[in-house]
Amino acid sequence: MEIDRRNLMKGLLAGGALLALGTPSWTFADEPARKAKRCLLFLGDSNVDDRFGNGVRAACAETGYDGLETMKVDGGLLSDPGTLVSLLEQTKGARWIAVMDDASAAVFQELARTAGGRLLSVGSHASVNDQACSLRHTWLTASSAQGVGGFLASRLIAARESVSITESFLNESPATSKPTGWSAPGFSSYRRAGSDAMHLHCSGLSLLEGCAQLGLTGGEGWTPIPPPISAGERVSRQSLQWVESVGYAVAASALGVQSTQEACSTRAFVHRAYNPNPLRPTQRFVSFVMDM
Amino acid sequence: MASKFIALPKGVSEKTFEAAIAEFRSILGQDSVLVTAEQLAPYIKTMMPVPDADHTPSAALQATTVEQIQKIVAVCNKYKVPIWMISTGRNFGYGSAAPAERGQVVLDLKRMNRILEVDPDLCFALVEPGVTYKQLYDYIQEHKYPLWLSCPAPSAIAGPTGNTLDRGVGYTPYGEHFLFACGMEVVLANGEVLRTGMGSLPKSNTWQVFKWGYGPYLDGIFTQSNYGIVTKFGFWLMPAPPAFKPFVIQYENEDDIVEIVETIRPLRISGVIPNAIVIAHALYEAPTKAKRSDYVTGPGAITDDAVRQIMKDHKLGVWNVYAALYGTQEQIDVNWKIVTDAFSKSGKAKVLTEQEAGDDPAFQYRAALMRGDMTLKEFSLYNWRGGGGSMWFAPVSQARGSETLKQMAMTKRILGKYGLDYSGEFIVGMRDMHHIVDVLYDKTDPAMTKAAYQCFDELLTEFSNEGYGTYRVNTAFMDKVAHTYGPVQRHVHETLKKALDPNGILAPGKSGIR
Repeated sequence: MEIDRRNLMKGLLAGGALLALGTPSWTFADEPARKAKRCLLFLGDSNVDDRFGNGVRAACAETGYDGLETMKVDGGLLSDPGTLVSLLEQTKGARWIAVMDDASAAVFQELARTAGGRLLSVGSHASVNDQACSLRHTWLTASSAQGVGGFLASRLIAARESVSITESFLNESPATSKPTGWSAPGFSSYRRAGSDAMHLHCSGLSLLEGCAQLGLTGGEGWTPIPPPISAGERVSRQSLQWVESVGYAVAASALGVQSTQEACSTRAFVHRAYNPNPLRPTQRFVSFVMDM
Repeated sequence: MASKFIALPKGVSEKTFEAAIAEFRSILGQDSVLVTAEQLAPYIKTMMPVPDADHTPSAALQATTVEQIQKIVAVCNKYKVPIWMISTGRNFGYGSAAPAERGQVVLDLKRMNRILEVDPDLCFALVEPGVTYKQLYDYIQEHKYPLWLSCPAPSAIAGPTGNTLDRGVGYTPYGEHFLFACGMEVVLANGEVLRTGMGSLPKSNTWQVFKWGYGPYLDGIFTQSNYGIVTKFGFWLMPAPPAFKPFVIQYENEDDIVEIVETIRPLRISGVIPNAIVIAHALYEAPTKAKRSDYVTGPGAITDDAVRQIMKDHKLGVWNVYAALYGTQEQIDVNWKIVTDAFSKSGKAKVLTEQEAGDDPAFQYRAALMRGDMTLKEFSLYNWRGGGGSMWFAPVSQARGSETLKQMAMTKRILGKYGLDYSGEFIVGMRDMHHIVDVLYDKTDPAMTKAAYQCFDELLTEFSNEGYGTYRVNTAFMDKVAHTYGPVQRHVHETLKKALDPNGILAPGKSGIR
């Protein structure tokens, strides 16, 4: 229970609670591989570069990481894939935090694979003109230790946005005797057991509505996960703008801040905001955390 | 789960797989056998509307020599471990580098990237499977050989071996790539090494100049198949022409496709226009200049009115015919007159050359492809709607106007039913047309992802019901397409498979063959 509590605390703190509570210092994962010695921010010339970069820098500032190097390509990767190939070769041993549009992302992943890159997470992010869910995020993450979704959820639920975040883990964390999960005020958590175990965290909508929002059929087979912590934690109200929040969450994970580890292959967060912000223009981008 | 591996091959226990991995490591070394989630994640992401978990590999092997591959297939036979071969793995909307079935081991041949020979006199190349077009392009430039490549759209990052084996096409007079293939080296499932055509003859120096050899021609059975692992690949290169004249002809109405095709066919068959002409719809070209959200929001396919606005704003026809003339200036001048006379008859065509359209980004990338230059601009398509979903729908039609109109209307109707846009083009072959449609959807939207799957399934069903076959498809739909070609062909494919690969270790599921 204590371990669960610490994990949750870490997750919430990573989400910005420290700022709200005035508490210092983050908690980092123990595994050396989770900490990056050299971290690079790669901006692929998308229209969110600046805001995403602001979020990354905010996370670096809060964690005391002052070695962030920034690289930017003009015109995107479709115009000049050769520059990326050179950069990948020159940055062996570095951890990349990258942001770009969908077309560049398709090329980036291919070239990074060829260069021997190890992919910790890739996220697809969209703000859409849709009353039901205006912010959508999907992640493929190597393992729950590198999870990003919890960091982002803890930031975005404070905002007046309806959000869905889905995160698939290639490596499930070892099953524990009791299912543990992420939790925050207002969220109800559920588990669907099986070889493809899933955790679903709903806020502002029922389990059935949450399932429907994610395109999952039926609400059968789910069992509630009790909140793993006592009251006391709260989520920061100093939420950044959503693109910055994504940059912040991605950087938190990349810098090795411990995520709440859930024993499942997929987890999802769905949050429905009441009186949401006015419909926003469509915007999309892709984020990566990649070790070269 | 809590396994050492992120996936296991079908029917293989963890213990057995562990033993196989140990043997792979003894062949390749520790660093060339990838099993961690971080190492394998770059192989996984697909653009298809199915869970990526369905295509998760259990491991990836990075071989560098034929001998290693021979030893790998021996291990695969011993433990019944299936492998999925990729050369560069740039298939994007046809399935990416991910295997057809969960748990297959990716055999990544990217490190077999030697250019073995380029002959500037006989105009051929012999390469290993990991060689990219960019690598070959640079080699040709460096040696100042007067040779041109023919590349598919992902030119710089893709390679001639993988593209040709999947029967991809390019945009120069050598655009039907398999037509210009000449000689392969293939590691068979039993470890034997076959050189096709003249390559089987000791001391032969005609492997890359005479395709047929003696006896049944075998190269074809190693394309779109899983009968062997191609480790060397020969193909012909185009002599650089003294002059090159790219052009675009724009038409205003979708029904004009009939006139376009009827005009082009005789020019193409007679060789006046020698390259693979592209007839691109406005929505195929628009992404180089605009985004969908600049024009429409909300559900449903884009309206014809919005397409008209895009055409107006970005100087596009609803059909944009890209072609080029090659040869001496005298030849080009003669052929240009024939082309312009043919297209000017109805008064509907607007003909633009480099002089008028040279600054246009769509024209620029099309011209680059038609001279075999490196460009990735076509993938601006992925920014049109965004969200990372893409499937190439690729039925074949006769080069007849009535057929192309019918296919376009069918495609647009079915896509529209599912709220998806028609981003299509026709590529004119010798007598056929490849109708290429990028079914673009937002993978972050569960409802749209489901609709995209149903839409693609219906496209395949309806087209096959009309007698239209698909020439290439992503890994999620290979069985379905194989089924449309009937039981006899499938049986023959399976008979060959059993004969050449009795343990089914090579890419089970490729083209629906197991």
